[in-house]
Amino acid sequence: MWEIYKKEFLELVRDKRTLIFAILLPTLIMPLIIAGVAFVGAKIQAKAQSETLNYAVQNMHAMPNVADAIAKQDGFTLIKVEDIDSLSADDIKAHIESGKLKFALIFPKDGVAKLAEGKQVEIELHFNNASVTNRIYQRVKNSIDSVIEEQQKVLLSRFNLDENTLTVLTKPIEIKRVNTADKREDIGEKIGGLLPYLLIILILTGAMYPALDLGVGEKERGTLETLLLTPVSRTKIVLAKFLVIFSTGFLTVFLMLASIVVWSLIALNIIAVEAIEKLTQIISLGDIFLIFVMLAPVAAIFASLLLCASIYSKNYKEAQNYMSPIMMFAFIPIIFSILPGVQLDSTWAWVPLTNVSLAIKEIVKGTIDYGMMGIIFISTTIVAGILLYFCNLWFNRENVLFRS
Amino acid sequence: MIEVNELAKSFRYDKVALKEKKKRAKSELDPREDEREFHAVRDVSFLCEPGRVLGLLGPNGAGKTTTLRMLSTALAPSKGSIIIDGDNVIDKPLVMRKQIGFLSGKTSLYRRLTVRENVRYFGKLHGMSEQKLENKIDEVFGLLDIKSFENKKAEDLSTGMSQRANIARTVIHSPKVLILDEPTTGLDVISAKTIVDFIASYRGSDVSVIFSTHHLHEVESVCDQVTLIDKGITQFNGSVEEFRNKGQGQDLYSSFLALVNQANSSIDGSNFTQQENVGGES
Repeated sequence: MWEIYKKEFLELVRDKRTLIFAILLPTLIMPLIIAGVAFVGAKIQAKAQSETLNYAVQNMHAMPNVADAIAKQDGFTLIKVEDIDSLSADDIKAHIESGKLKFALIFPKDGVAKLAEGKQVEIELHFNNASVTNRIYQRVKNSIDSVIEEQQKVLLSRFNLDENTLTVLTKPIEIKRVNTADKREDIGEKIGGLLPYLLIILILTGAMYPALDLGVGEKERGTLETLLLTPVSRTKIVLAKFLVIFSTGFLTVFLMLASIVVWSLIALNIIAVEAIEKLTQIISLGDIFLIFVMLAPVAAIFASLLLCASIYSKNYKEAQNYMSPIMMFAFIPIIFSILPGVQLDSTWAWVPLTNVSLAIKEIVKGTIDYGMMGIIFISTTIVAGILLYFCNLWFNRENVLFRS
Repeated sequence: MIEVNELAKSFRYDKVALKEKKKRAKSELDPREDEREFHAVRDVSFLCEPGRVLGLLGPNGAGKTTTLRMLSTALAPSKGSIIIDGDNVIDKPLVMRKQIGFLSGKTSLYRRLTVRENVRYFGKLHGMSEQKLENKIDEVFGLLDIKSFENKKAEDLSTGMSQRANIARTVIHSPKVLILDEPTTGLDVISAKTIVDFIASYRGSDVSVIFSTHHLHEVESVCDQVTLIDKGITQFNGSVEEFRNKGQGQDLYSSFLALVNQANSSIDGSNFTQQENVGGES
């Protein structure tokens, strides 16, 4: 059996596609994609915050203090637009669509008078709010906060009230939030949902290509029949193939986790990223080991399932058709674990894949119940064992092996 | 020695095949088809002594490959027995595989391994010791003229080189029965001759060789005896000379056609011509 295992592994190592999916993807490509997405996202946010915004104001003289406060804001440039005071909403929209303006403000003509009378004044802000990254509303609001505060003080003094009374008037009852979750639990809740999703899908993608190659690939190339005629039992052949697929899936996720650790340390030492520093403080090597333990039966489930589908298929094309349902089989339980309100309890502990996903989340949060973890490990291993048993039965059937 | 007695193999139709079958007219059906099964091999018997080469002949679809796959243990027979040196292959296939070397028309090598690695792998799976294996590889590679490309990856080999390497893989564990299913099909003249000469080298040895082919001149040059099957039934068993006599003493092609036509006329009265049945060889 080990001869078959060694040979299959040697062949896979010599295959460029395996190298890409099992080694390059988790160690370089995935971290690069994650870093790239984070970098671009941060850049876009920073740009939205500091971008120079051209604007125009209709009826500027109606509220000179507001106009001054906006003009003083960094990154705002007032543009002169001809006959601005007589433009309709459509004309302003046209200016924004042409790119000449990023936003326009319309002051009410009786703005000052209304303020003096203590009435509410409505300023219209025209801008394109389709982009999720634009910060125009926030920036405009921040720029006139001082004017609003000033007006509040004027009104308070008019009614002989102080600021405390205003607070009581606007919020007679305040609920003070006291978070009992420690920092680790808080961060764990945030990243703990994403991590199992990433790891479990990575196992599946890492195992998929070797499974196709070792099953239907051998059938198509005509090497399977030769292997079946050696004095090695079919059970041993199945076990060897299963172990290769299992190892490759597991190796992929191991490399991914190892590369995250290595890249995090590099980032920590070179650019001292605060978030990574926090992360390394809360997740220990012991936690990573526990995550691996939980992932082992998952890799076994996928290895058995993929090998079954691969062996049953007549050709590569048919095998690839079976891969989509298997992907769905993996995705749906993981999505359950991300849903709000789904927590690891005695019911979810029996749902394959969802339970492992929830357990990993608990490990990251530092709130794992080891008894529950044991139950999940055993139940997932039993599922993997049953699937492997059926895979072996299938491998012993002529009408599956020589299906045509 | 290998002794095959009343061998039969039936395949149950799956749903798709059953639907296809129902669409066909009765006249298009093979006499081996019934309601639920296709009886690919119905009654095949022959015997091959050590040191002799048996040529297994038959038109396309006669049941040759299914028969050979049963002999190799790839398929389990529905009926009959396969005895090698007194042991029934069907009872203990795992043990008997050490006695059998099988090369089918569809087998190939592991393309990302070199020729030597491929052959060594199969030697190890047959439980050969390291030293014995290396010596045997050198011996077989010499006989099959493989040494010049032994370190090439299988994916880089020509068809002829690949087939020679495949034969080396088949005989590496010194089987007592060598089964070759159309080993020269698609090969150039030089590669085909190397393989035919290699098969001939087993004459007079302690190995029984069963060799299926459509090339009757190869039968003439290398075989000691002939078995002809058609529609899954043995139609002839005997020496090459006896086979020739079936065609009124002319060539083997005439004998082949006479026997196949005789078999078919006894089933449905149809006659075959030379072009239709001898794999296009003239």
